Amino acid sequence: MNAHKPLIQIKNLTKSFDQVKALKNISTNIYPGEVVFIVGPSGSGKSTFLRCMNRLEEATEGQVIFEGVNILDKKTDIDQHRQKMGMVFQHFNLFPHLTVKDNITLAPRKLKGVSQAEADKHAMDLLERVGLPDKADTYPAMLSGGQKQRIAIARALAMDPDVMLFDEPTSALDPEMVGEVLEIMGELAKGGMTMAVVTHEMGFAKEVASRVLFMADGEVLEDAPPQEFFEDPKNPRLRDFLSKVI
Amino acid sequence: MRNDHTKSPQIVLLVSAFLVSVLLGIILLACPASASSGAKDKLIMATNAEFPPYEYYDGSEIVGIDVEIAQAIAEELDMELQIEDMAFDAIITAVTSGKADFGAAGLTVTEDRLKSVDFSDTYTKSAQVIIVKEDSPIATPEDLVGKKIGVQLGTTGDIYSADIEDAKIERYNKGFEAVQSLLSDKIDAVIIDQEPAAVFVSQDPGLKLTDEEFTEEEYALAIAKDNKELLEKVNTALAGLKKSGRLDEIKASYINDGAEEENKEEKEEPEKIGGKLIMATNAEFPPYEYYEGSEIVGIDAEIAQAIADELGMELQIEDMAFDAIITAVTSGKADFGAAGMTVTEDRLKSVDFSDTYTKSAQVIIVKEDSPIATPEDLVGKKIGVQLGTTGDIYSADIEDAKIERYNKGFEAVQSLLSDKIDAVIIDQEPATVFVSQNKGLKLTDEEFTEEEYALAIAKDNKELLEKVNTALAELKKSGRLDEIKASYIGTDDGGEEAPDSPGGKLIMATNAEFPPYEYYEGSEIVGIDVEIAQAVAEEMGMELQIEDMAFDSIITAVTSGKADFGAAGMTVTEDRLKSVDFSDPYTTSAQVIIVKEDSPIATPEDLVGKKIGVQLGTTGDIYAEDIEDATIERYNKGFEAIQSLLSDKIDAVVIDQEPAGVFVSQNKGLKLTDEEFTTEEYALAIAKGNEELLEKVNAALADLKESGRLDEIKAGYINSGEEETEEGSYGLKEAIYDNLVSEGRWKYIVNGLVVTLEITLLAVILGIIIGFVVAIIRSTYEKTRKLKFLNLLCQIYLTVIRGTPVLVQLLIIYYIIFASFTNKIVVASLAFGINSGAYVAEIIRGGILSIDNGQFEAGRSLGFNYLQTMVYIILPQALKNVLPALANEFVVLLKETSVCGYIALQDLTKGGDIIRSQTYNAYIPLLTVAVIYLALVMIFTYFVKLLERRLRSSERS
Repeated sequence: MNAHKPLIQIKNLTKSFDQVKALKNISTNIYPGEVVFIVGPSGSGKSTFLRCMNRLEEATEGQVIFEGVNILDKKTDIDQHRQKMGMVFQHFNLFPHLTVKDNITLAPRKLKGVSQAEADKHAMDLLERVGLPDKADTYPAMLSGGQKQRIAIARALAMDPDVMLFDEPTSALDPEMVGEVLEIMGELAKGGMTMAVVTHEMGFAKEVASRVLFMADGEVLEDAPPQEFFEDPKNPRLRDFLSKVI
Repeated sequence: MRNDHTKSPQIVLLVSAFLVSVLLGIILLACPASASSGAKDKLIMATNAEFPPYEYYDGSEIVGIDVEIAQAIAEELDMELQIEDMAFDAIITAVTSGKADFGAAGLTVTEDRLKSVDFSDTYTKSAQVIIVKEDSPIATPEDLVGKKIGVQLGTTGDIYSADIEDAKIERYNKGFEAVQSLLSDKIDAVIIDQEPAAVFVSQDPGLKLTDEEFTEEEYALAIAKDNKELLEKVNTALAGLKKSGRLDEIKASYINDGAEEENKEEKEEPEKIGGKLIMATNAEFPPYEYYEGSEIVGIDAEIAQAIADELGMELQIEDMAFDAIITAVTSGKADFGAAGMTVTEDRLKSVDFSDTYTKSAQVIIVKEDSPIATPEDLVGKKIGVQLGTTGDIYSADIEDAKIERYNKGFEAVQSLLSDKIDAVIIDQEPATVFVSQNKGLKLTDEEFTEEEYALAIAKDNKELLEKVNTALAELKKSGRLDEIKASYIGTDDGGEEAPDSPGGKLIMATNAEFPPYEYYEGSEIVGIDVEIAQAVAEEMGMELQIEDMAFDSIITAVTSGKADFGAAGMTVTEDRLKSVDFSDPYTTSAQVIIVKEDSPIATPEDLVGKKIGVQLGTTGDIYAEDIEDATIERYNKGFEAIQSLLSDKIDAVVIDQEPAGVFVSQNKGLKLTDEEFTTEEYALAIAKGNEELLEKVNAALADLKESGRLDEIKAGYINSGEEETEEGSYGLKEAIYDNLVSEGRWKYIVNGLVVTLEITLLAVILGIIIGFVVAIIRSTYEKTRKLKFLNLLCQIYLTVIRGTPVLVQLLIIYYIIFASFTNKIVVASLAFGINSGAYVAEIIRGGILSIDNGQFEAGRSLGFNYLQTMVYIILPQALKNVLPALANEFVVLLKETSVCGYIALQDLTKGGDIIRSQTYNAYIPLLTVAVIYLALVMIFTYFVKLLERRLRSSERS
């Protein structure tokens, strides 16, 4: 991997809802293999920031250059680039009318023209990875929250993305199910996947992150490796925040 | 006997049906306190407040002589006066229907009006006078002969002016509109009541009254015929007013101060579009103007272009009907008209003309072998012209000639080629082109008339007129005008369009419920008319195709070309002759009276005051209306009238002789009266203008009569009519056997069921397709604000379709939109599909809205585009949610198809109807049909439930 060339360059990203600025001129780079955690109080703009990266949210100004292309440009075929950016949602958003296997194989089959057999095989591998090979033919309604999120991760991985975006993946889970999801994410990080994670799991961030961003009021106030971030925070608001959550 | 009410064209019926709901709404809103609420102290006066000084608006109040008189009468009667303003010709109706107590509107006592209402004593004498322009030569009523006269619709002037010889009467809704037309020289004189005339004349200096009055008349109040009490009271009150001098006072106070206000007409200046010169033309007149590809070219276009160039403006050409050009110019929609237009007196009244740019002649095209050589030879001939052209105008003067007006020149030529007409009068240049393109045609040596072409320009636009004339002069001098003309005339040889004639089929419209003339035997239509038609078709070497429809649709079917002729025991009546031509009569029949055995009715005179059953739209229906005090019950079918007679709901049935014989022989307890009601003749109805078919049919009929075959056919039916006699009481088994088994009657049900299912299935498919597309467009707009225009179209579609009855939509689609398309199953499927699509669309849209936005985001984040996300992720879930509502819509649709009998489709319902008409049994056919619909719905519902359960099971554990 070329560690010098960023996978995602974010330049002067600004997002306004009517009069309110949710993101104020954010710039940062995400390099291949990096695991960037984004933390901060609710309403700080973390999720908006993440959703701007794959244009689920339209930014007001700025650029997101992904693999050399500014994907915020209206002329860019965003659907092409989204195939390379897996996304995991807080509320899983599995497709209730499809079986677990079909949830995973739908996109590869329809978008990449992968054959059913090949897609199925890949899906079984992914299910193996997330520890749910026996659930292939069940419908999402029969799964627990933790299982749903693991399937959602598998679904996103099925497109072989270059980066994975996680939008508070454990916030909607019962406490006893958080562990199983974090475990999968940890393995993914170890495997070298580039990841951007919005979360409240500070312990997990400390353990897995290559870098942690602290956001408040739409601005990045601290950008540091986890060691420094958690043990020697510079920004007073981050200090205040950490004292409350840890 | 039978007959249909095609007095007004079908379109009018449809449009009015369309508007009825709107009108009802408006009426309900407009008069919350309905006039006929019968409040004791109110005296309701109907008037038309546009007739000063008798009644008119002063601010928002109605005032005038009539109003004061009515007020005085109301006071005498100690009642409160309430004034209802309405159209003049609605007043009498308002009085007869009780909506108003009396009418006061400067109403003259006339014979016709006395038939509908009584009149009070007269309260004023007036005269109809003649208003003309100051310089007019018209001085006496005799001078009006042959003139254009304006009147107010429904007034005395309207009635009397109809008697003026050769005069052209223009009927205006309002008096002042007639006066305005007079001022702008569109008419020569206005006939109107004396008093308002005085007001009009005093307001316009250029108008005067002729010395001699047109006629004298007396005004009175109109009162409903049976309201003698009010009549007496009003007369008493009037007498009181006269005696006290109050009547004269009222009149005096109005007639002198009427002239206070002058009407100022505001002319709207046509807006000048920057640098554009708009030319109105009718691009079907080579070489002057015609389409070459998608462009309009020709002599006129080039001249106009040259003029525009001279004027430094951009030329814009508007193609329109020839007779709309002058209007376009006068209304400012176009700057000038150029369409090979001859300068005529009439046209000069509306527009000015430029200098002429070409001289042309109207020439006569005839077939090579025609004896017509000079214009004089045209007397008494059939002549084709293009509607609104010079030929049209001038040919009207040819003695005894029959003028056929075509929309396009080449249509006239086609008719000439097929011998429908004897000659075509048309402009010289296109004539040359037509003759050179069509073998067998020639021009007569002598021209019909010579004329000059010029450009038409609005009267007040002197500036443009001068510019155009200057430009024309330039073009003439430079020789460019001649060049343009030379380049067009003589170079043309475009392709010929051959009229395609339908292959070998002769379509007969009938109503197969009229034995022995036409009725079902098994699934086939047989009868006297059918055999005659068959014989005619054989003589013509064509194949006969029979279309069964409602009796009152037959004339429409013939006029709209859906059928070649109508044969349905149809009597020749005046009204029908207005819409269609009739062949020679092939049978003479009589309207007879059927009564119960013990009835005292023996002659037509005995019918006075009785309840009489007739078949809707038949001759009996028409004539029965004249029976004094009788109550007429109109049945859709003859046998229904007989059933009512048998159950004593009516006293007698007036119906055609032959079916009457059959009815009486089949039903015990009925007899015919000795004296016939009336006699009449049957003939075939053929579209007006289809002289060729008319001649052929008449020739075939003559052959049939001569050979004795006609009598054979009739004899074969009228004697065998009594084959079946029904026994008084029989069991359910026999009834079921008779209705569903014997003579293969079950086939009506089965075939009808197939038709119903076909229509439903096609309509469901179409409805789903339309519904999906519309729903996706609408929800895309709601989600993304894209597709704004398509969304607007969809909304219009939804509003119109959901706002009008499906039956009206079906009729519009059948009779107007697909008037020339004959596959009824396809038409009906389209109609029901388009209707259903609107409901399906809203159901599916609701389903889409019910899906969580996270589903949408998940789809998009995987890389699916908008449409893919819709198709793979949103719609499958949405459909599952709306399945019950969707199934319900299709159940409704299945049952709605039962109205398709209106366009004469034999669906399940109509099948039951046919059986009913054969067996006179209501129970079995109707219940059978009902049970089948019920069974269909239950089967369908069962499968939907199965499907629902399967889909649901996937989501829940």
